[in-house]
Amino acid sequence: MLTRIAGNCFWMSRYLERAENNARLLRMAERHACMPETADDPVGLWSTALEVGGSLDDYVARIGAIAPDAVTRFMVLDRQNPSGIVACIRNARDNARTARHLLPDVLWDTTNGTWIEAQALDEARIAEMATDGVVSWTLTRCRMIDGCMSELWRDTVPHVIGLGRSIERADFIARILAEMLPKLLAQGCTVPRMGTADCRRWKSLLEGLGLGESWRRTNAGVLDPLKVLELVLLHPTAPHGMLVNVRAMAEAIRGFAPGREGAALDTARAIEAKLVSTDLQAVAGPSMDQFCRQLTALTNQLGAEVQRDHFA
Amino acid sequence: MGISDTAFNEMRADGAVRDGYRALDRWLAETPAERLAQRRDEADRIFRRRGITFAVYGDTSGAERLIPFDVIPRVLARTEWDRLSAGCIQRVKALNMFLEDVYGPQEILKAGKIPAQEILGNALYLKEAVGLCMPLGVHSHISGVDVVRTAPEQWYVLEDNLRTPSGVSYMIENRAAMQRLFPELFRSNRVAPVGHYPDLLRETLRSVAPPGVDHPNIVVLTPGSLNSAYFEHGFLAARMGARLVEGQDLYVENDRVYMKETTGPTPVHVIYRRIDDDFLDPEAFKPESVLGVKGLLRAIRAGNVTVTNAIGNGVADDKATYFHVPAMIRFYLGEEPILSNVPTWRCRDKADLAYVLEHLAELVVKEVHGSGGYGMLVGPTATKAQVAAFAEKLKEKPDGYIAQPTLALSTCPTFVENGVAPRHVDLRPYVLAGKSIELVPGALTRVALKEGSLVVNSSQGGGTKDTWVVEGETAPC
Repeated sequence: MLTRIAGNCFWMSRYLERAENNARLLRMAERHACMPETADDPVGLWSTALEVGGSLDDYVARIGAIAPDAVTRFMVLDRQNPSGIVACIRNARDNARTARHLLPDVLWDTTNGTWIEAQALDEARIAEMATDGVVSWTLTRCRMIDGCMSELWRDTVPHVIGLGRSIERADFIARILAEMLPKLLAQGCTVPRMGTADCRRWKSLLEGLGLGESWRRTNAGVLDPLKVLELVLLHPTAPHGMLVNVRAMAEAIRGFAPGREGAALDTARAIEAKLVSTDLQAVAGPSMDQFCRQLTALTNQLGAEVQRDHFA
Repeated sequence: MGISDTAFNEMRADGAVRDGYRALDRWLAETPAERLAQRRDEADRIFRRRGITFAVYGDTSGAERLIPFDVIPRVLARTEWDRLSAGCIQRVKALNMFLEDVYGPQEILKAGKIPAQEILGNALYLKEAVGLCMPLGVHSHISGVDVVRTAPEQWYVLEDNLRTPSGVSYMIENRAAMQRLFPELFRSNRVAPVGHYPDLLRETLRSVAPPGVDHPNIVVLTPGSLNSAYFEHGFLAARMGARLVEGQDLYVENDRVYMKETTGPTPVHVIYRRIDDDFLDPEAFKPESVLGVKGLLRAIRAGNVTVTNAIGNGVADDKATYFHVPAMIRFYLGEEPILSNVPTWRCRDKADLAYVLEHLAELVVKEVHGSGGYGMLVGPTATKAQVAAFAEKLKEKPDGYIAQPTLALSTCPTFVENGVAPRHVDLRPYVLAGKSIELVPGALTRVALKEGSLVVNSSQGGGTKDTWVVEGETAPC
């Protein structure tokens, strides 16, 4: 597989995952905005969603005040917002177009069809669908594309696509933890009472990560922050958990570049080692900031190494 | 009475429906316009979803456009096709011999059949191609011969595209769309398939691999995803099971070409390039080119890679050399041309220029090195001011132009806003030359959708049609 085309497949996968992540952030912010505590805090999780998507500064500079409709438009439609859903779908589609000779027809058709539908999204259409409709549409279309990946030859391409997905997920987990944990643990690592605002914020974190269902499967009931961290960081099978995705990264690198894995594999192993040796009590306490910073730095480093060593 | 009224109607002649069109005629009579419109919209959706789009040069919006697709096919009877394809093969054979000759012993020039200065002084005669040893002596592996028809037996060749002819993916995709939209039509007409073109292309490319390479690695070289024909480049690569590469994916080391793969460097033996000569190798041609591969010419000269079509083919397909193709056929093959050239006035000759200036309003004038319908004058539809402006151009640079009579291109039934109406068409069959010379039984038909227009180019509002070679008709639809 050409290194350049591998890069296109990698970025197609990352952009699709990013579109999904931003859809989940949007849903998280909107559901949270329906809670009574937002009467006193109208900004709620809207700014969190922008910050995690890396676009808060851009939003404030170009749009201004945080307001639900404006944030929604920005996160869905704004062509200049690189994390915007429509922009991500376009980027995914453009990368797929460059690599389309290598992709099964059904995968290309579905990706291109998603872009065609995305172009029909505008303010009026969003108002008609409601935010949740847009989120559902995004998740459904991305899942459809993902389903088409089963038609790929079991050669290099699935590894590259898998790498893009897992790096984007790991990066997203690191970002959302860095943004939300300090606030969630500001009062210490205590188990919130069920039905309280604190409890709902923890649930928002799980929803934003796409781990709501995993949580219910593993720990339904009392929402213990340590158990949440365990699920997010260390669970060996949760698809949106950190450990699963770090291991997936290492496997993907070994899969598409056997014998030429380079520094990226070392970094993936370093992240895994760091995770499995993590003391969750410490993460939920004094070393939280340092842990989040290191995790973010390592995932960024891995992304840069992959780009430099394999797709340049 | 306009040119459209007198033009040869391929479906109806002398009040009767012609051979090959009867089943289609019945089908058209039974099919309401609403259904045709609905299927045309469905075709647009299919083409858009599959990304069968093109970018228009000069359009900075980056928007991708559809080439309009007409849902009524054009039909050629097998006998008509056989003669046409024999004519195309004859022409491509002679043109390949001409290229091998003028970059080698130059016998046709020595024999005085073509003035040497016209060839050797042509800007498209590349010194870099002199003495190149092409496998099997083939220079034009993929040729798009543009033909038009003015009467049942009268075909004219408009031009021979021997560099990077495009459009063949539309021939195949148009057929796929028709089969999906109107399967019933294929049950009542025995239509010769065209879908094996990529297989033939692959075999052609394989047959011209460098000597000693039994399993050549074939790649398609594209300028990139912003090129107007990028869809086609990817399509052909995918259908041939070949890599689609850009210049940046390749490099030359020790006069051998390699591509950069995730598993390391991989040798490349045959390059089906869709990049113009000028941009192919910055070491040999335009140094600023970022589309090509540095050192590629060295690798070609060393015989380690075959680049198709060969460099320097422009000298054979420009509109000045076109005039001499019948002479080439006689010289190299000892045959009379099966297909006619359009009578051509070469403005470089004083007498011809005088005639052209006098009859400008009746003629079509083309740039010698032009293509795509740009830079031409269609006298009968031009304004007086346009004609006058063009006359000045001709006087200023007579060498740069040729003129031809305005041909009444044949018409085919076409679904337009007012229903089904005749529109002018041309035809581009694709000739593949390697170990053998072949065509698939089909071609790209381009249609001028505007009433009365003779300009079929997609860049100027033309559309395309599926082109059928029918073996015979079976039951009614």
